[in-house]
Amino acid sequence: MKWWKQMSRENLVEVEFRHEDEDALLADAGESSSLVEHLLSVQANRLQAGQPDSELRSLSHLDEENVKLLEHQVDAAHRALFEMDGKALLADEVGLGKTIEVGMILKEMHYRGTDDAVLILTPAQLAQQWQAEMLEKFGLDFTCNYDDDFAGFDAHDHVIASIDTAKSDRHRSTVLARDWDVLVLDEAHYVKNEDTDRYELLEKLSYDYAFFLTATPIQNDVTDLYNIISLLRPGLFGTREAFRNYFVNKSQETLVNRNELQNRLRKVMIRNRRDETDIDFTPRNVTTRTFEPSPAEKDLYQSVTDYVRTAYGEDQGQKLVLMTLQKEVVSSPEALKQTVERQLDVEDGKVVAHADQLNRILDCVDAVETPTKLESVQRITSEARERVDKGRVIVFTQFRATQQKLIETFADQGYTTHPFHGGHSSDEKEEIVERFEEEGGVLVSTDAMNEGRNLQFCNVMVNYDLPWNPMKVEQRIGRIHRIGQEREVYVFNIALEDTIEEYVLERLYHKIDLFQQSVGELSEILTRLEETGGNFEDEVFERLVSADSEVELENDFDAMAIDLQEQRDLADKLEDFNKGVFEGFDLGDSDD
Amino acid sequence: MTDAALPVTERAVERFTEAYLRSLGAEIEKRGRQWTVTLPADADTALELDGDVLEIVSDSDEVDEGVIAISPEAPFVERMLDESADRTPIGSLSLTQDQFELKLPPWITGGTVEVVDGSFTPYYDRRALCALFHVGIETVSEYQTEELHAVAVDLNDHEERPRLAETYLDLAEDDQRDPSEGRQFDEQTLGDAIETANEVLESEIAPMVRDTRERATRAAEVELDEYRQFVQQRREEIDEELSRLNDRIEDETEAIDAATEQAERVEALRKRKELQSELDDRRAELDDLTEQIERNFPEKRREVRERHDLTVRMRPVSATSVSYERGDLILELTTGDATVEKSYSYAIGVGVMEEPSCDRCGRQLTWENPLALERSHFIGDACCGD
Repeated sequence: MKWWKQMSRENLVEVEFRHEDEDALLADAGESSSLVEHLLSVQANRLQAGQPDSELRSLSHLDEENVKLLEHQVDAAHRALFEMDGKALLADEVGLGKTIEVGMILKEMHYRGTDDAVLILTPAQLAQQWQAEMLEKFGLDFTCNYDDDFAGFDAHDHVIASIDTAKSDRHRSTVLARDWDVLVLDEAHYVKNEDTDRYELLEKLSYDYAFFLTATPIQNDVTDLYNIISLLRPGLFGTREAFRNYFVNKSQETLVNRNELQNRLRKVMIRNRRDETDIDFTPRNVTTRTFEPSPAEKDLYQSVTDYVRTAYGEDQGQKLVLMTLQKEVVSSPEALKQTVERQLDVEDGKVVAHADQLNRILDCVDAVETPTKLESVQRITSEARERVDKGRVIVFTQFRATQQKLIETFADQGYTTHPFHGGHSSDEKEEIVERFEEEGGVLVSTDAMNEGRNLQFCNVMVNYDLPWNPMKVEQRIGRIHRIGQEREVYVFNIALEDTIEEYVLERLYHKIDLFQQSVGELSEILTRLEETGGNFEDEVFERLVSADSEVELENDFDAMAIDLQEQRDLADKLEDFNKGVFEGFDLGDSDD
Repeated sequence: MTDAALPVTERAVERFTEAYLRSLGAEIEKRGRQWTVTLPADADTALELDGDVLEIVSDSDEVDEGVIAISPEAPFVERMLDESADRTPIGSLSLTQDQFELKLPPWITGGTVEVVDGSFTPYYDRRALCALFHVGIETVSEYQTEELHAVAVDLNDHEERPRLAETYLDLAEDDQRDPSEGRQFDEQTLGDAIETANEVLESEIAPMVRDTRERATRAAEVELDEYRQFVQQRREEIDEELSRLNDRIEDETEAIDAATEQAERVEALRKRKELQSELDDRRAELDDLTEQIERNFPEKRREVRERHDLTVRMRPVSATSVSYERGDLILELTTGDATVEKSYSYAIGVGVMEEPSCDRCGRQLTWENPLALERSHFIGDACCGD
C-alpha cells in the first residue's frame, strides 16, 4: 500500500474556512430591486465563473496599450502559478521579459485575492524601475524603500526593496517577523553564496509563494545552481556533496547526468531561449552630434565646474545640488539660472558660501545669447518635419526649465508642440500622447515619461541632455524602440565639446556600445557594478570633481570605461556559459 | 449544492449583452451580427454607447477598428459582466403553479404506472434563500481552484432544497419566462439564512476539500521526503567525515608521541586541537541531525505543512428570496387493470417532497426501482415486482 493511502485525518494539512464579504451583501438587504436586473446579476456571476479555472483570468483586465504580452511570457506565468507548487525559478535568457512574467503572476494573484503581503527584493539600482513597471504595466501599486512615505516592512503590504536594505540591522527583524504571501527575488544569482547575510535572510524568510529571477543561475560553478534551487526547494538536489558527486564531472567541472538534472529542474525552473521566441527589434541608429560651445558657453561651463569643485571640496553634503548644477549647465542656461538663484536666495542674515562665484555664474548665464544646442536641435526637427510622418520627434530633457525653453522655441518656429512632464495627471498624460499621435509635431518630455508609455508610432528621438545613468538613457529609447515598432529608430544625442556630457558619451557610452544594449543587458552590467561597490552617477561625479587636469579626467573616464567593459564582458561570458550549460535542456512539460 | 457556472459561449454572451443593454434602456438596431447601440443619456452605467457599433464575433481580434467586439472574454463583455454582477445582488421572486407544469419524479415516470390525472392544491407559501457562492480553495501545490455554487435552503425548516436551486438557475437562464417578484429579505432574515447556507455549503464541499487536502498533504510529504533524504545523505557524509577526522587525529597523536623537537610537537598539538574542534563541530551537527531524524523533523514538518495548508474562501455573491407554493399533489395512477388515487406532499419548483418506499419490503423507490402497483399496494418494480 502506498504510504499516502495510510494518511490518517490527523496527518492532513490544516484547513481554514473563511466566510468573506457577507456584510457587503447584507447591506443591500431590504432595498427594493428590479427582478430583471437581479436575474441579470445572477447570470453575470455565472458567466464570470464559467471559465476554465487554470486560466490566467486577469489577462483580459490588462491594458494592451501598457503592456504587450508575448506567448512565452504567458506560458511561463501559467506554469509558475499552476504547475510548480508555488515556487519557481524564472531563468529566461536576457531580454525576454522576466519582469513581465512576474508582473503577470502578481496581477493574477491580485485578481484572485491571494496577494495580501508581497515582498519584491531587487538590487538597489533596480528597485524604483520595478516599482514603475509594476504600476504602469500592471496597475499594481507597491511602496519602495526609497519612497518618502516608506515606513518600514511592517507598515505596507506590497513592498519593493533593495535586498541590502531588507537585510540591514534596522529592518531585518521586521522583514523576518512577517509571513509573506509572495516573495519575488530579482537577480537571484547574487544570493548564490550560502555563507552570506543575503542567503541567510532568504533562508529565514517565511512565505507561501516564491518567484526567483535570473538569466544566469550559474555564476562561478554549477554549485551556484544548487544553492539557488535549495533556497526554493531544500532537498530537491540532496546535499551539496551528493549534488556534486552525481551531477558534476569533477575533473572538468562540467555537468553529467543531464537527463536526471533536467527532470528535477523541471519541477522548479523555467527557461525560455531567445531563438525560440518571436522577439524581433528593428535596427537602432544612434548618432551623436557634438558641437563647439560658444565662448560665452565655455565661460559658463568653466565657472560652474570651478564652483562645483570648490564647493564640493569644502562640503560634500551638498553633493546632490552640485551634481544638479553640473548637469544643468549642459542642459540650458534657464535650468541653471533657477538653481543658482535658489542657492543665493536664502533668509536674510545668512551668509551664502561662494556668493561671488554664484553671481559670476549668473553673469555668464546672461552672456549666453542663443545656446548652441538649441540651434542644433532645430536642424533635427526641421529635417524630421520634411522626412518623417507628421514630423513627429520626441525631445527628452531632464529639466523643466529646459523643457519650457524648448517648447517656446519650437512654438515660435511654427511647430505643433506637446509638453509632457510629471506634473500632469495620468489622464492628462494619456491625452497628450494621443494628441501627439494625431497631430504630430514635437513632444518635449522630461524623464517623467517612463515605462509603459507606448510611443512606437514615433521613431525619432533626441536626447537634448544626457542622464549620466545609462539605464535612464535606455528607458528613454525604450519608449519608441520596443516590440511593435516597425520602422528603423533614430536616436540623436546632442552634446557640447569638452564638457561632462562629451566625456560620458564618448568615453563611456560609445566605447562600450551601451546604446546597443537592451535593458536586460544593462541592468546586468549596472548590478554587477553595484556589487563591486559603485553607483554610476556618483562615480561620474566623483571623477569629474577630483580630476586635477584634463588629462587626468580623460584617464579617469577611460578607467571607468574599462571597468564597465569588464563587467559587460563578464556578463556576456556568464550568459554564454549558461547558454552552454542549459543547451539542449528542454525545461517545458514532460512528454510522459 | 449545484455547480452554477455557465459555459461562456458566443450565444450566451450575445443573449446576455442584449438583455443587459435593454435593461439599461438601450436602443438596439440590428443588422445581422452588427448592432448599433445607443444608451439613454441618464442610463445608470459606466458604459458609454452613443450610436456605437457592436459586432458578435468568436474572437475579439476579428472586428474592424472602432467596432466593439462581443465575444467571450472581449474587454467590453468583461466590463459589462463586472458591472452587472455587482449591480443588483439581492432580489426576490415568486414561484406559482400557473408558471410551472407539474413535475413528476423519475420513480413515477420511469415505471409501468401511468398517470391518468394530477392536480395540485396549494395550501401555503414557503420561502427559501437561493444564493450563489464563490468557493475558492487555495493551496500552494495547486495554487487555487474557484467555483460558483448555488445553494437553496428553506427559511422555515432550514433544510437544503437542491431541486429548488436547479429550478432557480433554469429560471435565471430562461428569458422567455417572466416570473413575478416575491417578498424581499430584511437584513436579519438574510443574515440567518446565509448562516444556514454556509453550513450546507461547508458540508457539501467537504468531499472536494478532503480530496484537495489529501493531495496537498501528499505534495507536502514529497517536499518533506526530499528533505528527509537530504538529511539522511548529510548524516552519512558526516559519518564519513568523522571517521576521516578520527584517523587524522590518531595520526597527529602518533606524530606528537614521535616528535623529537619541541616545535614539531607543538605544531602537531595545535593541529590535533584544530581537528578535535572540527570533530566536535561535526559531532554536534550529527547529534542535531540525529535528533531531527528521531523526532521526525518537527520544525521542518511544521514549516512545510503550514505552507501547504488549505484556505477555503466562501463568498456569497447573490441572494434571492424565493417564495414557492406548497401543498398536495393528487395523482390518479393506473396500470390498466387497477386505478388508484394517491396524494403526495408537493412544492412548486421542488417537486414531490417525499421519498416513498416499497409497501412490501421498505426499499426506497428510485428511478432504478420505480413505482409499480399490485392491487392497491405501492411496491418497487425492481425489488418486489414480477
